[in-house]
Amino acid sequence: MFLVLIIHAALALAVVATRSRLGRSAFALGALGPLSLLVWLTTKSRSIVDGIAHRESIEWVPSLDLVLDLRVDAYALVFLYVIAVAGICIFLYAARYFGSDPKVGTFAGTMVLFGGAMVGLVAADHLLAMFLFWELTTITSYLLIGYSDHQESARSAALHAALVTGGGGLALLAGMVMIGTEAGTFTISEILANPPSQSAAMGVAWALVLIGAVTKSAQFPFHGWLPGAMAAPTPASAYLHSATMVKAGIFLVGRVAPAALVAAAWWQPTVLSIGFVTMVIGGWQALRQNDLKLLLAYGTVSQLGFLFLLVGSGEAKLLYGGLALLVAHALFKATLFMVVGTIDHEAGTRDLRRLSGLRTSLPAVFWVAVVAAASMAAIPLTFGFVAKEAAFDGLVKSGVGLIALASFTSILTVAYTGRFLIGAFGGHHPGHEPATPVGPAPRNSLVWAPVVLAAVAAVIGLVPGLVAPTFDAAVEAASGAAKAGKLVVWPGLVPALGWSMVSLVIGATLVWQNALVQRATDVVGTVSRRLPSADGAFRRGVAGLLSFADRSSGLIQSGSLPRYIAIILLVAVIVPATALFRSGISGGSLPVGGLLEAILGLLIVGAAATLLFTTRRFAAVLLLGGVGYGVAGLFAVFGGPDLSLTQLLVETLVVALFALVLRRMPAVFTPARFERTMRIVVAVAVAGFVFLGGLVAFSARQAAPVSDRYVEMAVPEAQGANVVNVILVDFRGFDTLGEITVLAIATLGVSGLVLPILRTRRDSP
Amino acid sequence: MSLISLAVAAILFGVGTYLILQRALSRIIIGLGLVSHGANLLIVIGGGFGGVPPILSEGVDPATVADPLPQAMVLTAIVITFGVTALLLALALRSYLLTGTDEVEDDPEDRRVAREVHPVVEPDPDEDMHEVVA
Amino acid sequence: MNRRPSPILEHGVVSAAGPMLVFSLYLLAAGHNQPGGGFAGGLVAGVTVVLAWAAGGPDTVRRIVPVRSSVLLGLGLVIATLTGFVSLVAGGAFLESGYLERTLPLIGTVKLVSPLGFDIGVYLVVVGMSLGLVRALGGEPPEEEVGS
Repeated sequence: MFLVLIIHAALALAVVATRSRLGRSAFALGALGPLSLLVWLTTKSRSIVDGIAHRESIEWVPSLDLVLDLRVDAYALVFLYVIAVAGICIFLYAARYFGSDPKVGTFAGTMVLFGGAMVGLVAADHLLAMFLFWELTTITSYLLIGYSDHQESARSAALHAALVTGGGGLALLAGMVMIGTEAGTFTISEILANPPSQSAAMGVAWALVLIGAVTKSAQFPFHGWLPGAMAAPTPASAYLHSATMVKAGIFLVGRVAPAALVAAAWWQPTVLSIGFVTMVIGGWQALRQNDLKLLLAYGTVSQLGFLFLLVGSGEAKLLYGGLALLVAHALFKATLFMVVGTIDHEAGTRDLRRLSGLRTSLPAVFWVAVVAAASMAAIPLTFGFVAKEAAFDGLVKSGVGLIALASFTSILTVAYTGRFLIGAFGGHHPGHEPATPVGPAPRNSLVWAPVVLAAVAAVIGLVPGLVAPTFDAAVEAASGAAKAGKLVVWPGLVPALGWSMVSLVIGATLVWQNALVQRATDVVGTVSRRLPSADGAFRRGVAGLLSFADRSSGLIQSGSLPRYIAIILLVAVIVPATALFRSGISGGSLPVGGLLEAILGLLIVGAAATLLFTTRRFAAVLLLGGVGYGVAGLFAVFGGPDLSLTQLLVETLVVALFALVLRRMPAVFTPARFERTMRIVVAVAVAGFVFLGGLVAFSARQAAPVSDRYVEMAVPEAQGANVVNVILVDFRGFDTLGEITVLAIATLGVSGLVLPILRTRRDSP
Repeated sequence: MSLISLAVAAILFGVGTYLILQRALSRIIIGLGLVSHGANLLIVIGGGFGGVPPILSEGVDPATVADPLPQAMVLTAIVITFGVTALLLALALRSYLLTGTDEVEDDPEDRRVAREVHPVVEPDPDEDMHEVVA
Repeated sequence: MNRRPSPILEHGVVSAAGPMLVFSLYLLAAGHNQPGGGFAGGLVAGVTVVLAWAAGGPDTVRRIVPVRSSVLLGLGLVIATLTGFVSLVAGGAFLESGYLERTLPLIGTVKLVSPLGFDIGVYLVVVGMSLGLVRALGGEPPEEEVGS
């Protein structure tokens, strides 16, 4: 499995490196990625289906307990097959889809990278590793949607998708960290085996995880990014935004549902509600679209809602149908996206009001579309029908309300499927030209790649027994329940069949009465447009965030140096002071100090206080020197003759240097303009914090000073009796070497700052 | 360590801060000098209750000497502060020679950014984003 | 400085400069066992330089310390670093101290410790720094630096 990941990474690099030479054939090279995955799957799938999960592990940062664990069970196997099969077909399709755009190679490399990230996401057995791959899919998705970066719409759609799924990713990370901390392990299989029990914190954690899944799988109310993502070139739409990436959220809820149910009672009703609302909204919007690709996108939203509730509910009988439908959906939706791409490629438009007569001019494409659409509408003898019967069977057992709502959405599905087929290939649009002109029918992978996918789906639809054991094992791996459902060509006269037949008939009627439906959707659309939409809320949110950032940075970054320093100091005081008070450590009692100390202290404080009011520069400098001499005296009191000596000498030099500089300047300071009150508040806060902090810190000291050893070793090891000097030149000599280097550099800096100006003054008086 | 010295250090911090929050560079340097004095004092008194100088000539009991490590650190700090002060003085002098004042003016770029505010866009309810997708 | 410095003051400073420099060297040499060391010694020499500048300007400074500040800075850094490498070559750690003990005629027992070399480097850097700062902030660049 690691090998597959490495192959993806290496291929992505290779494709990007050779992009100028390969052109669009880079996709053919990239197809080796999903192909390697498929080969791996075929060698391993037998034992995995038998119930033996495949594990691999790499110690990554052992000291931090970061290991990269991979674990492929039958549940993950289903997703990996989708990634592999859809990937191969779509890569080969893309190799003929693009023209000679120089950016194509980068696009191909990004798609390979995405494929690898998707494999890692599904196979990772560590929450944080999974999150890493999760975010990688978000980033690659952003790059792929924004491929046409000269179009403002593509850029904003990419940003929209990245912000929504990235924000959800952050929520997911927070939830994962909470769960991992509570469970004591970040290994997914261990958490599932021993899920944390119910608590308020776990409720929040699972809600955060759910938000991550909801955003990724374009569920209500975050579904707005997926239609926008159709700005991406068709291969990306087919691969990411119908077959794989949007299934990541569904993969996640299906994976964690058993553990989430333990800790959060609201999980199941919430997942069911979100799924149903998404289903209905998506199906309804699909009926109103004129762009074939958008029609498919909203259809995807609707189907994702259905999959979300089936897989995420935590019920094994729903999961069974959900997984089957997930694979069926990936097959038919990727096929249909490629069909739309081919139509766009050949006819130059995707607007179903302008397309007509393609049935005769692109017959092969037409028949592929018919097979895939039949699966989408769940006509008997297709994989879609087999899967939906399994799903309906589970819903019937769960209650009449669920099956009724699902049937309603099925009606919408049939209706928009009809709209798609007739719109794309039908011939009789009154008032339009008889047939859209197309070139000679393509005979390359633009046609046969979707054919392969449609054929795979058709075979499964006719002989579902081929894949049934895999689904049995997958459901058992995810939920523990064996024989939760069945995949059969003809279910017999069961209630589920009744529901689907009724919805099929009503749906067909709606297709027949298309004009009526359009009028109805127009009326409802005029009303619903006035309602707050997810998209509008997103745009308002982003605009509000920008204006908030402007205002707050305008407030803080005013350009005034005193204000900057005041803010920094206040933060530096408030944050540790809060921690200090919350810690509850109290200051002990310190001795007051001796008489000599008191006299020196009074001198220092007196000089400093006078400094506050003096406006003459020279007086200020002399007072600073006075403070320095006073401090030197204090050092002597505390037993530091070296310090005292150095301080005296430095202070003398500082006063002298000040005098040299100030003799050029006016005698009096310019008056300060910054608010006096503010200065006093900040100064008092700093002084108070230093006093209290010192009080606490000095009384809290327990350990023996490290310098005890220095005192012991000074004479025997360094031949020096002056311990301070020994520390400077021997024990901490490296620090001193650094220090004198700084001094030398500072001197050069001073010369560099001042001398050139003086020279020009002298040369040109 | 003693209360008096701690209070002196805190007052030096306070007065220094007050002086730093101004615009005249020469006054800021003086404020910085006061803060450095306060910090050095804080480190030295943090080292313990003092003692005899840490010079181990004959007759000195090593148990009674003041902690030498904070002293060494502060000695370094004093000299480094000297270098920093000299550099700041050079900046003040340069500023004065070039502009005739040692005042720190507001950063014009920051002021421009502060004035600039993105308008809050109200999304047009009639605008159908789905037609935008090309 | 535009005003003519007082000749008496200048003379006094120049005659005091010798003893002050000797005192600074004493601090440097004694620093390992008594208060003092490279920093203190260098600073005393620095104060001497400042006094000389105040008394007679750049020319007086050059009479007392006839070296350019950059030479002192560089020499000091080189000596300090080399001392560190000496003990490295001798098989110890960087800057680990070693010592030589010799009994010389007339003077008695002399103990030469390697940290003294390091402290000499510190001393030179501090003197060079004082010299450079006074020249730059004093605002009258000496002749040989103007044209370069």
